[in-house]
Amino acid sequence: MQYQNPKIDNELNVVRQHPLKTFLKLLAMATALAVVIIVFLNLSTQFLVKYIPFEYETALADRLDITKVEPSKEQAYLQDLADRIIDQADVSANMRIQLHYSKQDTVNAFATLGGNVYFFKGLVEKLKSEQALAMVMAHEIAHIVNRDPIIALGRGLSTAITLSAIFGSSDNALIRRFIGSGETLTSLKYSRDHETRADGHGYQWINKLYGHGCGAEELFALFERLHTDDDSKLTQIFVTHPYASKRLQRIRENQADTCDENDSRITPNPLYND
Amino acid sequence: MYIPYDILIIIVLLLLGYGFGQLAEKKHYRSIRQRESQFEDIHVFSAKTLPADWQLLSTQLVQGNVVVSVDYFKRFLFSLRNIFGGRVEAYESLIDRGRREAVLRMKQQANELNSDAIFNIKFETSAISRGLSSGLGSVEVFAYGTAIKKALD
Repeated sequence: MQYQNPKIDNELNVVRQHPLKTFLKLLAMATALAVVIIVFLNLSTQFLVKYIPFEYETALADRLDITKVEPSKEQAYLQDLADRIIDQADVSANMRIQLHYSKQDTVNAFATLGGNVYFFKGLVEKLKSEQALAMVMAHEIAHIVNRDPIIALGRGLSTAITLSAIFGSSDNALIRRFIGSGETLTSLKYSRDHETRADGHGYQWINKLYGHGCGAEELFALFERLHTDDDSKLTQIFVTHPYASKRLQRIRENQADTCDENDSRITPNPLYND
Repeated sequence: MYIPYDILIIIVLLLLGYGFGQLAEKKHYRSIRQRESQFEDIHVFSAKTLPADWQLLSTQLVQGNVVVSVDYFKRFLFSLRNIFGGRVEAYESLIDRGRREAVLRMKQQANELNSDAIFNIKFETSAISRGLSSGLGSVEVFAYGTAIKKALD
């Protein structure tokens, strides 16, 4: 009897479709799915945040080691300013602002979880008036009152989790990108809406506190100056605070009465040193 | 300008995986087809018993073993497939190559022994993972059987 192993010409196990075509199709589907989920989750954070008690935020911040305060006379002055501003806002008593002062030359200030606000020497010393300083302070406090840090964190986390679930946990780069290390907490990304809203609230409180808004615009003038200077010290605050000139314009429009640079009502900043 | 290096690395890895992976696969298939026709005369049977009219001269265990690695591109494709389901084409060709290569190596050994046929062939397939998080790293295929030499009729 004769035997033979037949030749199989038709390669049944090898797919004829080009792998790139399959790849692009799947990638498009996965991306669409990710976009839908992320948009949905991001929208729901804004809605759900009012159900997260502020104490939770504080407890979270305590665990992240961002709450340690180094006392100094600058810190005491800025803390007092913060307390005076938060008194203008209609918030519950448990929402307290903890101010931190850093001796770094970075021109920056930011608000993060649990009512922690950081001010850097580089910014504090550049502002001539207390009102401009108060404007920064009120802006950062407004972020906290509006719960922007926890919203930003929630959005970052939900985006990261969605991406890692869809694109595979092996690609850790994607996750790190959105959750990151502790660094992300100092550079929580607020949306433009959040920034505009924080400006509005901040300016209101300044008006309530001083009875006028003179001096506040100095801050935005500084932003503009630094922007055009192309200063290497330009940091987060300017990257995440876009359209400084537009904001400046808005502040000026909101000023009910005119005030000039040497207005007698402007309080000098005791820490000014430029 | 801000360059997202982490994303860039993924893209570069995908391109490298695709380029080298496709090249290696094409080359491998060419070699597989060529050797398959070369060893055409050594017949492979899954049966355990010989045909009644065969006179047995000698028997010998022959084996072929191969490990094929999955490339970054294939793995990415696989992870995308995981969401939507369907044929994992990228891995199908991988297993196909592994099986055929293992049989070929087994046949090559039989050829060196001047065997006429291989009976009772079996496969073992196992995944060699590089750890839980990275999933399937590479696949090992082991083929073995009994090579027989026939007495002349």
